[in-house]
Amino acid sequence: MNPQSLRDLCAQGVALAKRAGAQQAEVYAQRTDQLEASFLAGDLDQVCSSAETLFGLRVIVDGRIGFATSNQPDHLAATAEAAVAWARSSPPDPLAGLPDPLPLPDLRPQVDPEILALGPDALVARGLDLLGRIEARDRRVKIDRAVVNRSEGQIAVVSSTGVDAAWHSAQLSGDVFGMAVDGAEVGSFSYDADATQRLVEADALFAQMVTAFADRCVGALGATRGESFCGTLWIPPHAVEEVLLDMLLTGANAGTVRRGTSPLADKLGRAIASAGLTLTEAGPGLPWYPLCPFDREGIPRQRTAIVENGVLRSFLYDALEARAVGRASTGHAVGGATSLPGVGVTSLCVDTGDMADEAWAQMKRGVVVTRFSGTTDPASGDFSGVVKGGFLIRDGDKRPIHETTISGNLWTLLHQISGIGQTAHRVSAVRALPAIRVEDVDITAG
Amino acid sequence: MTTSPLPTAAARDGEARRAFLRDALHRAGADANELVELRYHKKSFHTAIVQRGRLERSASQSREGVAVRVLVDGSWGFATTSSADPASLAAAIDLARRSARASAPHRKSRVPHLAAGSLAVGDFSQAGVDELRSRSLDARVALVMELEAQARGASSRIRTASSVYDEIIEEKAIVTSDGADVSWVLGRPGLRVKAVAERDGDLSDVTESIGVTGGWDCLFRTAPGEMAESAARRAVELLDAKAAPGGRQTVILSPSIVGLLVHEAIGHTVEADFVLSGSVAQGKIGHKVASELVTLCDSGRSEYFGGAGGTLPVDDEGVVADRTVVIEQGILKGYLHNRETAARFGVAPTGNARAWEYADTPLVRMRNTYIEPGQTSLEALIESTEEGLFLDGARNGQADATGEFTFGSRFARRIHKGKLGELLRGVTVTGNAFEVLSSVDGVSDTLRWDLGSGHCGKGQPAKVDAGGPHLRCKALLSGKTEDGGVA
Repeated sequence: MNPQSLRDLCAQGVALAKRAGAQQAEVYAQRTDQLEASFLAGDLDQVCSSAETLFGLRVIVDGRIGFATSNQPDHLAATAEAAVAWARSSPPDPLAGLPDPLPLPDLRPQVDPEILALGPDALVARGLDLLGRIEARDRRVKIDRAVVNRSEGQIAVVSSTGVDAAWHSAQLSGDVFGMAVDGAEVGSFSYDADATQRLVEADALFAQMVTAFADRCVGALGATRGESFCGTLWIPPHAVEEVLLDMLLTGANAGTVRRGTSPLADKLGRAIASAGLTLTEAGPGLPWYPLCPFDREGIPRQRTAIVENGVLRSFLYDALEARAVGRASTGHAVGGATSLPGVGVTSLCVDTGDMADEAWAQMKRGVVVTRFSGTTDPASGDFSGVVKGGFLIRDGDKRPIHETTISGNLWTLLHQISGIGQTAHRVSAVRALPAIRVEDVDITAG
Repeated sequence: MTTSPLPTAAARDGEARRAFLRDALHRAGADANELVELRYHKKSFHTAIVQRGRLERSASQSREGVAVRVLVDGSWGFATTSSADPASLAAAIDLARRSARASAPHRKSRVPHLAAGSLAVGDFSQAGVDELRSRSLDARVALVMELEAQARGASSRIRTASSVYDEIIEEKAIVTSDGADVSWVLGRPGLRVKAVAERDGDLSDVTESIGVTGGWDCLFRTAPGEMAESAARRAVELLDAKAAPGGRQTVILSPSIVGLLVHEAIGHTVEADFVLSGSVAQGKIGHKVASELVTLCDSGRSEYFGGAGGTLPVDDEGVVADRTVVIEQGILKGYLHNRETAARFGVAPTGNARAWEYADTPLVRMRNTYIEPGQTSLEALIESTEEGLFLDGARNGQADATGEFTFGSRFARRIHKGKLGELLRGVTVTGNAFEVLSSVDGVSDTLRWDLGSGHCGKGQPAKVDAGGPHLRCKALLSGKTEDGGVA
């Protein structure tokens, strides 16, 4: 199936939905062809191939919304009828409606033919190379699971209001999951992943990924009891989103604001963090990983500053949330063919600061958070949990620790940021994040 | 071989699917040196979500196709097709075969053979699917609209509420070249209601949920109105609750927290693929890993009480999903297996191979994981506790390869001189699960399944359940200690 035939499928779906009784209809379709080599317990497990076309129909009937999805193009008419049936069973919704089209930027997908040409042997060879590099780095690292995946994707979205967009992409991705084992000692889990759209970059990226992964696994060995104190937290780039940004991004979602569950609802224009923090949703992607230029609804993705110099500047909107407050979408509708669009983040960056990347070594007394496992309450901002694979820093000395908990309140913590790293690191292809240092955190040894 | 019990309409549909797969297998001509496994899977969802009086989502999803696995030259190949026509299926078999042959030279350790175990033959469809299918979309929408409205209207302190109905219907058929020939249909409906209370900017929220394997009536073993009322009442009560004290303490864990503990912190470490990777359970068979009061099992059946959310008659390799004893009176007895890991360990497969959708490879996953009930009543457990906390309301949890875990409890109640005292806000519990289970000195006599509404994640989701009786043990709770220090 080529992009044009996917567009045709969408157009047929719109017509069928209107015939079934919809006043407005939108069809989002995606075609994915994948080849994957997976490894278990350090050995090749299997080579998998799959190809599938999925489509989702959103309809508006008498001001009511319905949605249905299938992977059987032959069932397009039945799926359209199912969406209309859901709409008829639903109450009228003042927010019902589909977005009008907006001009899209020049749509010229860059699909690397070298990625498309990768066959089973090439993927297996790349996977074995990953495993070999990890073993060479440190034989104590055990791979529970590793995957090398070549994926070609086509998407199209067509609606009765005039949206008509299509995109084509290809990527090579890899991920590893495992831990270090030294005699009877088993270290904490670690995980890493990256992806590229240009084959020429793959070797260097994956080498970097497995080095970081192996070092984290081994670093967790020999962990001893930590210390209890109120002190400094060092959050490396790969842990910044999990520890600091997840709840903030939930609060900046216009859907949570409308539903009354965002503590940021009345904070626009106010300082919610230290002045050093500038957080941006990167819209059409980062320079090294461009994204499809339109969102799940066919609306151009917009680069949007969420926090600027510590001040909350904007929430993120899709068409429905924008309609609810009488403004334009910021192009942040996410989701695939199997779900209704919702607001979400696709690509993210935090502006760099002036803190040296190795400044952790200057901490008088602090903890490095490699991974956080705990409970968070987005409503209050309260969090509590265990630092995994963490380190205690005392006067420049660094030693691994276990069973150390951190607790506090995120909204307070954001004001306690005391340093932002000088270098933005690529995290999982679609994030550019520096290290962040936070003061006055309750740290408790187990 | 285990043969099926029921000749029903579902069985006739299942037989037609199996005949289609058998025909494809016959035409593909599997020889004695290879294993070909064909798995048809259709997964249908209905979802309705209400928040603050608005129907946020109302949707149907359907996804179907056939997965092909071929084991040849000691190596696997896997391919899928969403087109249910003989030519597409033949092409997928050919692709899986070629992938297996191409990867064989690169495997360090060839799969020697697959453990046969109890391969199922016939139709094993479960009750409740017709009941679900007979319900109108209107009924589902009305259910969630009423539930949310009830929770929101229960108290002036309730700031917002939400409710979710989700329903999965699974239709499967598996035919393998070594004898599995099985089909089944089952339903998994679930219901959740959440209430958020507020006073002077202070928020508390409580979610009541249920997820079962069965039909509409099975889901309503707790009346929806009671769930809404309970969520709202408890959310308001928590507004007055103080924080629970931290430190190492005697605790009585409710079945939901026991379920989280046995699933997250023990269950994953005994999944045989993870054991092979070096989990803490490796090499511990026959070792004492828990108190002798603890017998821990994982079962495809809904033991003791019907409707457990992870129930399945047969796994996704065609193996009957029976009860597996993992820990017996404190001694580690076995792991959870698929056919390959069972062969590697020289044991029978336990029916734990599960795939979320047709395009997913079956992985070793849990089903219904639990601790066997003991002889003591809950009342007697509480009465014999001098000082401690009663923890209830499982929140999210995570665990590590070492058995170290972190999870939250929504509520706590102080126990003082054998009596339950004031309500406290929940705490985060941390520790090593095997150490916690080794400290168990009391097990109540009644089991409850209490984790059926969520999903387990391991690369792909899985519907599981977990639970048990109430357990008394020692655990580390994070937070300030009674004397003002930190735990």
